Amino acid sequence: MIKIEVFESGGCCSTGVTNPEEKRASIRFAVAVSQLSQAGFDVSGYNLLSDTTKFEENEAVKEALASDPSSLPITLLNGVVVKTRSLPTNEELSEWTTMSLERLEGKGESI
Amino acid sequence: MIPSFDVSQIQVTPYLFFTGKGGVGKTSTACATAVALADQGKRVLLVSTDPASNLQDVFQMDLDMNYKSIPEVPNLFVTNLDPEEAAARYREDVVGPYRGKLPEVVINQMEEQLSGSCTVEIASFNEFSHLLTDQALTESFDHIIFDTAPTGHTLRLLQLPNAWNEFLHNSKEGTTQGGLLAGLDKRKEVYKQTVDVLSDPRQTSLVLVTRPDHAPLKEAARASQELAETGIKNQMLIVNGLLMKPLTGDSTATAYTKRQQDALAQQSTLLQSLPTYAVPLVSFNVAGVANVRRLFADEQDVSNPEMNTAELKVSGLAAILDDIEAKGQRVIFTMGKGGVGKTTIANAIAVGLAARGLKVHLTTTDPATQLDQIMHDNIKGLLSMSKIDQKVEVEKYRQEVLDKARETMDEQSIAYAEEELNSPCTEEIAVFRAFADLVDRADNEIVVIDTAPSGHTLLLLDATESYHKEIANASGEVPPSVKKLLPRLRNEEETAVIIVTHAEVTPVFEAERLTADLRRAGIHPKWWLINQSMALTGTKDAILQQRAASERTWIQRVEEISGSHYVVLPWQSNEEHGGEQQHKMNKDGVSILPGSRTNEGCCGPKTSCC
Repeated sequence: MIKIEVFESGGCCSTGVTNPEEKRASIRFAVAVSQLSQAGFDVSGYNLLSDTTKFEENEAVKEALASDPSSLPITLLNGVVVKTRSLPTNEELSEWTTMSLERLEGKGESI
Repeated sequence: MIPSFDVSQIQVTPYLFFTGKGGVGKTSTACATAVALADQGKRVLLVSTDPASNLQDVFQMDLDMNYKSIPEVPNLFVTNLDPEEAAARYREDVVGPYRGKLPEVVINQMEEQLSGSCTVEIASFNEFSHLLTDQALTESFDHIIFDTAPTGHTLRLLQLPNAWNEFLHNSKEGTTQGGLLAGLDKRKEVYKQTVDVLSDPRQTSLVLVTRPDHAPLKEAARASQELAETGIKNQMLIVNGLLMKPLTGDSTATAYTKRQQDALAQQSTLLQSLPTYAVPLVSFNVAGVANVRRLFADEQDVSNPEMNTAELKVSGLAAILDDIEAKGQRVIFTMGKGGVGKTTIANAIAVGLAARGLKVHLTTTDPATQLDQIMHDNIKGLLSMSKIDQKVEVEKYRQEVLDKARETMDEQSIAYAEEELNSPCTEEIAVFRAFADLVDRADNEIVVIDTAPSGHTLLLLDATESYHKEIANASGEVPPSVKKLLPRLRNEEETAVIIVTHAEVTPVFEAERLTADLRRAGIHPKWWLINQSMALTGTKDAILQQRAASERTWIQRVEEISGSHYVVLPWQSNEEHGGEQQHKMNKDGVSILPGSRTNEGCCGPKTSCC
């Protein structure tokens, strides 16, 4: 079972709103997450403000933050930090889950 | 003739909400209403959300969250809910448990994210919903009267219930949103109940308070419509501060009355359809229960106060212009709450600098401003103008995002994009981008802007900027103008922020809050400008003279806050309409613009972010 956890900065003025490129990345990621969840993958997103406990409980995340406070967003694959400072790309998600890029983009048949 | 406000003549619902622009007299009218009802033998709870704590002055006693009885008024209980304090508690509830457990930088980041006005409102609303849904409480009072925070707050505050219902609904779709509404679902029932109470005309009425002046009337019309749309349809209008018997032959008093009548004659049909009541302009400060009772009784105190205007700095704009010119500052913001004359002052500064031979670009958020109205022959070629239209900027931003989304994404994704763009941040960010481009023009000319971004936004964006800088694979998406913006704003050699206010309690308190917010972001406004001072008019009208005398306290306060870096401009009657604007040039070549043209509802980015 593949487990992906993404820890994001909180607040609606968080990263990614100053320009459309960043905004697009977050939308792209949201679509991919939705596709993955529908396909039964265990994908969770945690927000610094609403899910603070998850940050505090996770040693890997705390360690990453302690060594570099600007690590967020942090991605864990099966509990191991695999990416920091930006959201996973669809290519990375595809590699981890074997879901096709097309489907991650929401273009494939939805389930 | 507008009938006087008299609580014995109207149906009073269990809940009364007073709303209006800062400084229109919400506190005084709400207090007077509460006292009048209590004098009828009703059990009344007065709830103030005014962060300026005017209420403490009114009742001349310390007030807090507890219900305090007022000795001179049996049956009246008063509580003061400071929204900032409520927000601080809310913030501590969220962040506190993690202090020492998460890195300090992360804690600081969380705190900033919870420092916007949205948090203030959520926290206040929490308190409101308690009061509106606590059965034991509602049963022990005949009336609960809310004296709310200034308009912008009020609107969103009262609108929140519906917005939240939608939000809670949307969140089922699985969109991850910011954590501001953390744990809300639990309170969903309470909020639903609150909405029901607010939109029930038998339980709740909305009292729109205004002054007989264009800007507050326009704001009242806007509030009336917006609140009616949220379901609060039981509304009435109080016109506060009518000059009833102007001194014959006094030019200021005559102009003052004429302006009031003109403004009322031009009020929107929407407002005309509401039951409307008048409260006179009074000579006394509404402090102490005796004066509160006199407010609706129209008893005037006509003793002439001591007037001494000689000590006031009347150097006009020249002192500010001199400083800008001497320092070679290139980015000039005017900042203040709606209705104090930011746009007028920005225009005057732009014209004044151009008259000194400097190349100036004026940017206004007031769609009514026209360049040919302020242009003189001697400054042609030196002054140019552009406008920031908030709605247009938001739409531009939305389109930009959606166009990019359409290039690669299908319908489902676009639906997501649209959903994300509904975030309240979109507006401020969109306008902020327009700012950045404008400020970039300051490389070649002086840029004067009639609004400024809030310190809160700047701080959040600053975090974002440093974040972007460190990303190795960032392909330069952050426009260079945005990158340069904050350092530029913080540099006093380059940037001047001029705080515009009136010499009255609420505008001064509001200006102080804006200043504190900017200071957090490392921006230190130097100059304060007191606009529309009655003290400088030389009026002989007894009531207007009393108003003038009461300005002294606030002018002194501004003097202290600003370290004497302030100027005072006299009250002026000309209210611009269309192209009829008149201009006088003083000896500095500074155009003295008609004093009070303002356009409420388009004052740039709201001071809210999230």
